[in-house]
Amino acid sequence: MKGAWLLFRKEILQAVRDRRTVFMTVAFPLVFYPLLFGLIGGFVQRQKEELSSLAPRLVVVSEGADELVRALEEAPGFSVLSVGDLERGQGAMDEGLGEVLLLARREPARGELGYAVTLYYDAADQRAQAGAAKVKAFLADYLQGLARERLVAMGVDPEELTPPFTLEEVDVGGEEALARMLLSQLLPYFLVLSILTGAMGLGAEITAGEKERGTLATLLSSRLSRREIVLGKFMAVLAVSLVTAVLSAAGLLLGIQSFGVGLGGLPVGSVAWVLALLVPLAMTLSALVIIVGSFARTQKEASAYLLPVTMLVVVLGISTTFGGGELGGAKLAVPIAGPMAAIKQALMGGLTLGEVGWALLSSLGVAGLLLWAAVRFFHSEKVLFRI
Amino acid sequence: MKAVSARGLTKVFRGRRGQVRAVDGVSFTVEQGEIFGLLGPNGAGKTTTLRMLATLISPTEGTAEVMGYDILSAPQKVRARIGFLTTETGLYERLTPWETLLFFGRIFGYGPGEVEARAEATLRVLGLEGLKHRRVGTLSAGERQKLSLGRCLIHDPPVLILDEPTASLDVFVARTVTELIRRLRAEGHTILLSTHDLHLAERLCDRLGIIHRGRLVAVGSPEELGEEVGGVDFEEVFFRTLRRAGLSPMGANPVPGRAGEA
Ligand SMILES: Nc1ncnc2c1ncn2[C@@H]1O[C@H](COP(=O)(O)OP(=O)(O)OP(=O)(O)O)[C@@H](O)[C@H]1O
Ligand SMILES: [Mg+2]
Repeated sequence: MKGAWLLFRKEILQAVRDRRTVFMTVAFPLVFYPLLFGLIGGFVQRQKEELSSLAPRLVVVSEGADELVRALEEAPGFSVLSVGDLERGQGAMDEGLGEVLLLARREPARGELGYAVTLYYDAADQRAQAGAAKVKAFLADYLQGLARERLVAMGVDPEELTPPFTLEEVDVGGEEALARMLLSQLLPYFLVLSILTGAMGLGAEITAGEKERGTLATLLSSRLSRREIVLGKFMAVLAVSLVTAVLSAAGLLLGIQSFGVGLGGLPVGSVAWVLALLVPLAMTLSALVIIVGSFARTQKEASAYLLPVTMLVVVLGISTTFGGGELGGAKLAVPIAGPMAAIKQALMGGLTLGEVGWALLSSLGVAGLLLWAAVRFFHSEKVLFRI
Repeated sequence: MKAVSARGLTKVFRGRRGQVRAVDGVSFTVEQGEIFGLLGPNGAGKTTTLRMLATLISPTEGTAEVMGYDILSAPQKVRARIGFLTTETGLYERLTPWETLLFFGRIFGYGPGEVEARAEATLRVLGLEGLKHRRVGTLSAGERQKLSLGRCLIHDPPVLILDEPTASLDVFVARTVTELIRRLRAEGHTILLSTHDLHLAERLCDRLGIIHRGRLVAVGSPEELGEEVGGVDFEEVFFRTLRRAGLSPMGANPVPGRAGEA
C-alpha cells in the first residue's frame, strides 16, 4: 500500500498547483461564505431593528367612534390620519400614506360600549403586519381598561373577579439559541455541498481526466496495483474535500458572527462532533465521486454524471433541514442523510456516542463498497479503454 | 531467452455494432538487444498488440512472454520489466521533469538517495538537465517526448515498448529521439516499437513485423523483406508484401492482386 501513499502525494502536489482547486477549497469558503452570510446577517438585523422602531401609520375612518379614535391618537407609537369615509381611506392607503386602514364603527344597538373594528392591511407586507399586531394589542388593552372601569362603576373590585393567575414569559435561550438553531439547520447542508464541490473538481480530474489525457495508461503499466491506484486517489479526494468542509464551516461561523450574535457559547464538544462527523460524510461522497469518475470517459462526462448526485444531495439537505421526520438512533446509519442529521443534533445538543458510531460505521461500509466497485472498474478494460 | 515472444495473440472487441478482430493470431519473437518494429497503417492493430504486451488489456486468445514472464499469469513481473510509452505523452502538466521522474522512480521501489541519483542520470541521458524545474506544461512537444521516454527508463527496464515514438514530432526532434533509441539499444535495452512511418522503420529497426488488419503478414529485417518480394525502395517492398499476402492496404479485405497504388 506504499504505492497508494506515493500516488496520494503526487495528486496533492498537483492539486495545490491547480488554481481552480485552490480557489474552490480555500478562497471560496473563506471569502465568499463570510461575505454572503455577513450580508444576509446585516440585512436581517437591519430589518428587525426597523420593524421594532416603526411607529405604524394608521388611516382611520370613524363612524361615531370618536372616543376610540382619540384614545388611539393619544397612545404613543401610532401616527393617526383620520379620513371621512372608507373610500377616502382606501385612497389614502393607495397613496401609501399608511400601513393599516382601520374602520371603527360605534354600534349602540349592541350596548353602551358596542364597537365593530375592521383592519385592512397587506398581510404579505412585514411592516403592515407588524403595525396590525400593534393595533390589535392596543385594542385589547383598551377594551380591558373599559371593562375594569365598568366593573368599578358597578361597585365590583376587578381583582376579586379575576382568579389569581399570572402568566409570565421568559426567553431563556435568547439570541444565542436562535443563532444555534439557524446554524444547526444551515451547517449540515452547507458542509455537504462544500464537501461535494471540493471532491467533484479534483475527483473528476484525477480519474476521468487522467483517462482522457492518456496518463492513466502510464499508471496502469507501472508497478502500482489497481487497488493502490484507487486508494491513493480516494485519499487525495477525501483530504481535499475535508479541507474544503472545515474551511467552509469556518467561513460560515465567521459570517454568522455578523448576525450580531457571538457564538462563544457554542460548546467545544459540539464543534468536535461536527468535525468528527465530517469524516463519514466526506468518505461516502468522495467514494461516490471516485466511482463516477472511474466510469466516465471524460472529465466533462464525469461532471455531467455528478450533477444529479449533487441535486440528490441538495434534496437530502433540504429534507433534513426542514423535514419533520427526525433521524435518530440507528436511523443515523442512512448514508449522507444520517451524518447530516447527526451534525444538526450535535449543534442542538443531545447526540450520543452510539449514534455517531452508527453514522461512522455505515459510511465506512458504504465507502468501502463503492471503492471496491471502483477497483472492479479499474480491472475492466471495457471501462478503462472505452473510446 | 527471448525478450518478447507472442504466440497467437488475438483481441476481439465486442461493441454494440458487432465484433472487431483488432488483432488476429499474431506470433513473433523479439531478440534481446534488438529494435523490433511493428509496421502497419492506421487501425492495423499495433496499439492493441502493444497494450496486450504491456498487460493493460488481456488477449481474447493466445498469450505472450516478456523476459520469460507470462503476461497473463505474471502481469506484475512483466510490468516491472517494461517501460511503456503511449501515443499520448502521458505526463502530468503541473509537475516538473524532476518531480515526474522522482514519482515514477519511487513507484518502482527506489528508495531515497537512490531515486534522486536515477533521476539525475536519466535527465543527463536525455539532455534535459536545464529544464529540471520547469513545469511540464511549458515544455515543447520534443522535450515532452524525451521526458516521456525518461519516465519509461527510470526503473531501467530491459524492454521498452514504444507506441509511435516519433509521431507528431518534427524531423529534427524525431531525429534526436531515434538517436536516443539507438543509444538505448547500445546500452543493452530491447526495444519494441510501432510505427506507420516506412522510412523510420527501414532506417531504425533491426527487424520488422508488417501488420495489417490485425494479421502479421511478414517478419524479417528490412533487407530480408526486400529480397523476398523485390522492389526499388522500401515503400514498394511494403505494398508488395501486403499484396502477396492477399491484402489490400486500402479497401475491403482481402482483394488479391488489386489496389496498393496509393
Ligand atoms: N477499445 C476498443 N473498442 C473497440 N474497438 C477498438 C478498441 N481499441 C481499438 N479498437 C479497434 O481495433 C482496431 C485496431 O486498433 P489499434 O488502435 O490497435 O490500431 P493501430 O494500428 O494502433 O492504429 P493507429 O495507427 O491509428 O494508432 C481498430 O479498428 C480500432 O477501431
Ligand atoms: Mg495506435
